[in-house]
Amino acid sequence: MAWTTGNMTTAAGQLLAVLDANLVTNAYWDIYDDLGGNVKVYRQNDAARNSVFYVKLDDSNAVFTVVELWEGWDLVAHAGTGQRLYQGSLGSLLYIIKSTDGWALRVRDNNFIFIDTVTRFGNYVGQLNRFDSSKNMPILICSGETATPTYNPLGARNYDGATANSRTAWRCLFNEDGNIKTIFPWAQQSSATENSVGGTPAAVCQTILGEIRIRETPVYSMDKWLLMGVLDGVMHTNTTDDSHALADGETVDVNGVIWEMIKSAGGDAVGFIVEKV
Amino acid sequence: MAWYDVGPAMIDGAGALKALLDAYLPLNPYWSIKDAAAGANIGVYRNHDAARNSDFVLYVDDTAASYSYVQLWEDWDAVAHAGVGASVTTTLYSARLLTFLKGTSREKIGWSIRVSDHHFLLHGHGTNTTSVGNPSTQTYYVGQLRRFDESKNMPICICKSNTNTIWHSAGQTVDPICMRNWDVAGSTEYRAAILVALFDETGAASILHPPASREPNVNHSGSYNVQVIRTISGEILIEEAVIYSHNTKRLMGILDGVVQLPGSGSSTSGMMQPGYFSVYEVDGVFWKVVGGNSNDQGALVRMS
Repeated sequence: MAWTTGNMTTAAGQLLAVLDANLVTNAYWDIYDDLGGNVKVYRQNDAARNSVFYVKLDDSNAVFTVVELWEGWDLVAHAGTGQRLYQGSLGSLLYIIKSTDGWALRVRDNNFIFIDTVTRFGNYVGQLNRFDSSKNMPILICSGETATPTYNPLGARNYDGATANSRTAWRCLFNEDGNIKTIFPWAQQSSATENSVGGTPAAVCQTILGEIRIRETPVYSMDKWLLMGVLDGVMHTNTTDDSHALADGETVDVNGVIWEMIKSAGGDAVGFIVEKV
Repeated sequence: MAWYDVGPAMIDGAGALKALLDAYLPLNPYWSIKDAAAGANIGVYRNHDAARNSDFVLYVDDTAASYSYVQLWEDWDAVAHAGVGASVTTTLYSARLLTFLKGTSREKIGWSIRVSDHHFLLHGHGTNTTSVGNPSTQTYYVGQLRRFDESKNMPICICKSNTNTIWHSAGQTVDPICMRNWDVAGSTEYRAAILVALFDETGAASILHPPASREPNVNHSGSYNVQVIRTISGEILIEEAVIYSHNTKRLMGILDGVVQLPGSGSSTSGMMQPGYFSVYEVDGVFWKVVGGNSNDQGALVRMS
């Protein structure tokens, strides 16, 4: 586990540079293929824990990076194989938004979180803490738009709404049945359809004693409405009101580990509390 | 703590709820009948545990046939037969009376009451089914949460705010224990579940909100939210509802032995995975699935 911070610009290749330097310091992540032109494929390879998938990043654009998850990758053809997650349920592509200045990257054995510390957007790539770790169920929480990226993906719910240009996307490469599906944080409202946006409740987390009650957020997928696992080291708080939870940048020490509220100013002004280790 | 299945003991009729509470609450040493002469079909009960800072009075007006009005009081004068100190006698926003339904002749099967040191939970279940095949239930909670600060006396009541005695009809009723607060001015609708505290941590009366109540910036909270509790491995994730004060937006405590399962949509979507009217054993503890039928809301209540 590692938490790293640094600075970047929005230029092409900037996100790849961050991942090249930091993601692969974990034994279960490596650079698997370089397609040139700022397009690379990273492999998550932890067969013992049933976590194997490929992350293709097209970082050839300024401002945003296009993200895809693949079941397999052919190094000869330089092409993905098997199942591919590359869009929201209404066809928007999936993006990690870049901005000039700070970033934070949390790398764990089976997932990573990339945070733009300026816009306070969080993106989650990889496994949940799975209720059934015999199943390989990588997820992707990121932006679904590039035009006006004002929504914090990991702080918001799935926002794969009425137009193809979705604000945020919560998707999985495989659910428990092996299907690409939209996923939802616990307590999302009325997730009756694959592209439902719904609402999420304010996650009040401070007790009358002033203590912060941290609870990693369970996640479920469409179809059977079964909990796949919990967000690893992330409490999804949603909430537009600081009085419900922590203010942006506030931290709390939980058994010696620092958790920080990451909350965007734009969009729904929503946030999440992340374990910084 | 004890769970009593009392069968069809409480049927419609004045005094029916009082008789049930008279019989079962005093079985716990921290509950007593505070005033046995308060009036015909009027029950007054005290919960008192000084060592754990629980002290309040429940007043029950059981003079009507099919419903009862309840009130929470800070204290009670058994000579004057009147409440003393702070009270919650109506909903805080719409000033409607706090109501327990006793059921209707066409639906009731029986009642159960869970009596704990600092609260009781009264649960009735019916036979009628709806388009989604769910029997209707009514469940009420009076007393303390499992408090985060036990130095504070913060009794609550979860009930209804109307006297429409049909537990479900045309898909429009709910079980109060399943719901968010629904304190809407003038509302007579079946969904009017009420969550209210005699005292929050500041000593003020407050509307309460469960965790999945959306953006409760007004006195009646927002939309339903889905709480999926079954995992892909078939296990049930027990998450008792954490309750916070509308006044302060701070978590007061945990709704003891209650897992709320709100959510709209059909049961076929699977959000109500346990299935109504079932009993589940989780780590040696039995939980009963309860719910009305409107919007498929439900809850698990611990049977001990």
